This record gives sequence, structure tokens and C-alpha cells, in this order.
Amino acid sequence: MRSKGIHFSLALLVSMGAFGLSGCGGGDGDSARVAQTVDASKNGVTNIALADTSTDGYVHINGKLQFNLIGTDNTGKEINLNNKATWTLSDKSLGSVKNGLFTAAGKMGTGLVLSASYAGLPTQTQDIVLSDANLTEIVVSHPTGVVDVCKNTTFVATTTFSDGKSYDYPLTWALADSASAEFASFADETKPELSTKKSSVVKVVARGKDTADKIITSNELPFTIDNSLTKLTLKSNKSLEMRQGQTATLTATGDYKNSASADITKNASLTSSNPAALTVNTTTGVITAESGSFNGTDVTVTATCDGIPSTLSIKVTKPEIQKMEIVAKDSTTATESLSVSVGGNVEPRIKVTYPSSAATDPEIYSGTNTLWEISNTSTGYDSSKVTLDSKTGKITISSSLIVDTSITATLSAKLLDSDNKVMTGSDGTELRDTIQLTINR
Amino acid sequence: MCKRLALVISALSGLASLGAQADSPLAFHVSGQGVYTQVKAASEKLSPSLFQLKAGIEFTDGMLDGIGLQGMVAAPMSDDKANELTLEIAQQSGIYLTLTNPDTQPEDLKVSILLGYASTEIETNLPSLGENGRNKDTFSDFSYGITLQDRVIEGKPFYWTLDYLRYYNDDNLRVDGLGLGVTYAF
Repeated sequence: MRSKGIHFSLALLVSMGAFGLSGCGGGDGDSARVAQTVDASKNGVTNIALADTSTDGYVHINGKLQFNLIGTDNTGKEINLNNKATWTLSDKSLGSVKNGLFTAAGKMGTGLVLSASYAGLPTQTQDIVLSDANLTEIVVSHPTGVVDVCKNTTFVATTTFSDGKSYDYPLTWALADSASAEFASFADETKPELSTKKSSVVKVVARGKDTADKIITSNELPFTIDNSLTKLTLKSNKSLEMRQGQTATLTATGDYKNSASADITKNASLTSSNPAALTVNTTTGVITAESGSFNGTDVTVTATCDGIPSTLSIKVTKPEIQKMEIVAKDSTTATESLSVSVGGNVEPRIKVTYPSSAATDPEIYSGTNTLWEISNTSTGYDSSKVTLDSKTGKITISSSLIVDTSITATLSAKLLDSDNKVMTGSDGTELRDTIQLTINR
Repeated sequence: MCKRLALVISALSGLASLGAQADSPLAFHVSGQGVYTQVKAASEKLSPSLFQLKAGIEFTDGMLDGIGLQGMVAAPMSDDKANELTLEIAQQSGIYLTLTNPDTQPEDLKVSILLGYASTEIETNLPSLGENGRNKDTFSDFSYGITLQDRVIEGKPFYWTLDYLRYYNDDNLRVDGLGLGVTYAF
């Protein structure tokens, strides 16, 4: 007999366990600190400090400012901890901070303090002073004033505000005249990165709005896109024979006068000679075989930059065949036998099926590399009176063939590869089929 | 979800307490097991071990057949070290709703799903950071897992128990455990 007392005690123990635990939702633990401590054990950081900012913490209410938490190990080696540290603001209504990048919320406030902590080390703080000063001037500059054609380059804008300070402020970037668009462009007009594609001299400007929504435009900076490209080479990361549905990535590499080379895929113009068969993503260089043929469709992809072309020939074929079957001329259903009368003819065909992953319906094979054969003939068969086209499978029976009742034979078909060997299907078996052929009187 | 689960567990606990007093169809068990834990943080995996004590009750008839409750407490057996960091699970407790196929026979391999709430206290010490590197944090959250039980000797109320549970998971930290032990069923 079980003890009722023990049972009650166990039930009570379980019950008390439920109440003994604190409320749901993370307890009092700081999992970020645990992760940071593990991280500190790997990078050896023993001290942290917020790096000096050139603005002393002044930020425009419409702007941003990147803060940096720098860790140092025992040897003095510095490690940027921006994406490892825990960043917080004393007043979240005045802005947000992620990986050290403070973004103001667009309104004024005082007493804002940024805190950065890491691995339990003393928290580092920085006062942030928000400003709503008015934008008065923008000056655009570039470190060298020139860039190799088909490369990207970044400009710098220095702003001046009514309080005499300079802030990181939302600006838009453009070329001074629309005719320059054929030479270069700012892919994202909020970022100062110019993408070039043709040698020329262009003028770059930056614009920003002041507090009255009046557009302040910078100086027009003349900028040289140097015609230093000497050669362009287009390559694929996969085979140049692609099956329908497959993808590959093209890379356009530019060689320059100074013997340097660079990946300029994003700057080059990529085109396909047959977009129905092969498409090109002009941004990523990814090509997709859209529609192939049994014998392969030849497509030429051309990359051009600053008038220098490079081409790549790609053959697009059908998906890998899973199996093949002989079907009658007017049917799409596999058959075990066909019959033909003396003086008549029969034109069997081949139906091919693809793996489900190819997402392509079965279809009649229209390729040319097939082999049809007749074998195992019964008594009365006369090969001189039977004509078989070994490529198309068409069988013609001469009216002079003498048949008592009927003659039987085996008709086989095989799909051959470019080396005239029997092709192997996606499931590893040879692509061949046999049926019985009956010749009637 | 966690709070709803706690309510369900509490309600079932109350029912079980009443059931125990009223001699209703309940099975009782206690277990002792060693647990190999895996604490993953900052792409590093540390594996302190624990000794867990568990007590559970389970309805064996009626509408709640196959549903049970399990309470767990654990004490550290060993810590683990990586890159001079020592990490130990100082203590752990949990409460689980157990769900078992009611058709499972005593001679069958018993498979149960565990849904509940666990609290894990983690102690870290990184001497290179001095006192700043010595911390103790408790992490509590929804916990879940699976447990397998099979009889050790036919006719005896002893069972091998193998379970795998996730005790805690967030963007920075994950605590899992693989336990092996023995259960005695009353």
C-alpha cells in the first residue's frame, strides 16, 4: 500500500516549485554581460573607453553621430567594441543608439547621456548636446579629385550651421547636370558614394534643407573620371553549359593602366543576347537559365564599361532528364507495343520526364542525338523490306514484305550525349526504352 | 505564454494535491540525474555539469490521463573553463507540465514532452577583469524539452531516464542540458 503521505508531500513539492520560481521573463540576469565577459576572455580586453569625438558630443536634432567604444588589452592593443557593447540613452525620446551610432529623434532636449558598458567593466558615459541650429553652407570635397573609371568613390561634405559648428546632417547627393548621368550616378542619393561607368569630368553637388525647408546647395565640385581601364574580363563561377533553372554569378574584372585590377561587376553594363533563355541581374551579376533546348541554346552575355567590352558564351540546355519512354505519334502516354501494316509506316516518339525539382512538365523529346534500333526479330522478318530511320525512329514497311500472319520485333530507343554514349538520367539509370513492334499483313 | 503556462501548472498542482489526498489515479516518481549542460554565449560553448533532483506526479486515468507535473532542483557538480573564464551553474530550478501518450504501457519506452519554466543561476569569473569580472546572474524563462524513460529491470520500479531540455534562450545566451539518470516510480 502506497503511502498517502508521501504522495501528498510530492504533490505539494511540485506545487511549491511552481510558486517558488520568480515571475516569467528573464529573471534579473544580464545575458549581454555574460556574452561580453565570454567575449572579453577571448579578446583579452581589460579596459574600455569612449573614443574622443571631434564634435564633443554635439549632435544636430536631425543628424547622427557615431560613437566608438574602444577596448584595450594588457599589451595596449585597441579593439573596437561597438557591436559588442551595450549602448543606452538616458532619454529614449530624444534619440536611439545602435552599435554606437546615435540618431537624433528630431526634437530638442537637455541632459541626454549616452552610456556604453562591456563585460561588467565600469560604464563609460558621454553627454550629448542637441542643437537645432540652421544649415547655412555645404562644401563638397574629394581626397584626390579623380577616380579610375568603372570604380566607386566617396565624397565628403562639410556643413556649416548658424551656431558656427559643423554637424553630421542629412544631405542628398547628385551630379550638377542631368547629362552627366551617362558617366556616373549616386545609387543611393542619401550616401556620398559615386558609381562611375564612363570616363569624363562631372560636377558633384550635395544638398540639404534648412529649418525653413529652403534647399541649400553646395559648391559644384569638378571631378575627373579617368579613362584608365585597359581590359575587361568576364567570368562565370560555374560551368558555361547551364541547365534550365540553374544560376551562376558573373564577375567582370577590370585591368587598369597602373597594373591593378578590380571587380567592377556592379559598374559594368551586363546584357544577354537572349533574355528569354538567360537573364542577367545587372546589379549582382547573377545569371539565370530561364529556358533551354535539348541541343542547347547559345547565349552571349556582354559586359561593357567605358566602351570596353567582354563577352561570355553560355549554352542553356533543358533540365536533366529523369526518364524517357517511347510513345505513339499522336499520344503522350507510354506504350508497350506498336503495330504497323505492310506498305505502311509508323513514327514513334520519345517522351521525357524531369525530376519534380526541375518544375518542368514532361514533353516530347525534340533533340537530334537519338538512336533507334530493331532487334529480336521473329521468323519472316526481312531487313531489306523494313526501313528504320535511326535518328527519328520512323519505320516504313515495304509493300513487298511477305507476312503470313504477323512478324514481331523489339524496337529500342536511346538518348545519346555529345560523345554518342547513352545518357544517364537523374536517377542514375541509362536513358533508353524498348517496346514490341508488330508488323501485320 | 509563460504566465499562462504558470497558471496551468499552478492549477494542475492544486488538483494534484487534492488528488493525492483523495487517493485519485496518480503515479508518482522521483529521479536523480547527472546533466551535461551547454552554455552558449559569444560563439563560445561551455559545459558545466549539474546534479538534478526531480519529483513528479502524473494522472493515469480520466480526462487528464498522461498529463503530469514535474519539479526540478539542481546543484553544481563541476564548472567549465575557456580562455581563463570560469563558468558555473550555481543553482537551477524548474517546474514542468509533462505530456505523455496515455496509451503508453509500463513496458514501453515512455516519451514525454516537457513544457515549463526554469530558472538558472550562472556564475562567471574572469580574473583579468578583477572584481568586475566576477558576476552572478539568474536567467528565468520558458523552458521545454523531451524525456525518454525505460524500465531498468522487468518488474522493478526503476527506470533509466534520458532527457534534453532548453532552459534559457535569448539573443546573447542559450542554456541547454542533456541529462541521464535513474527514476524510481512509487
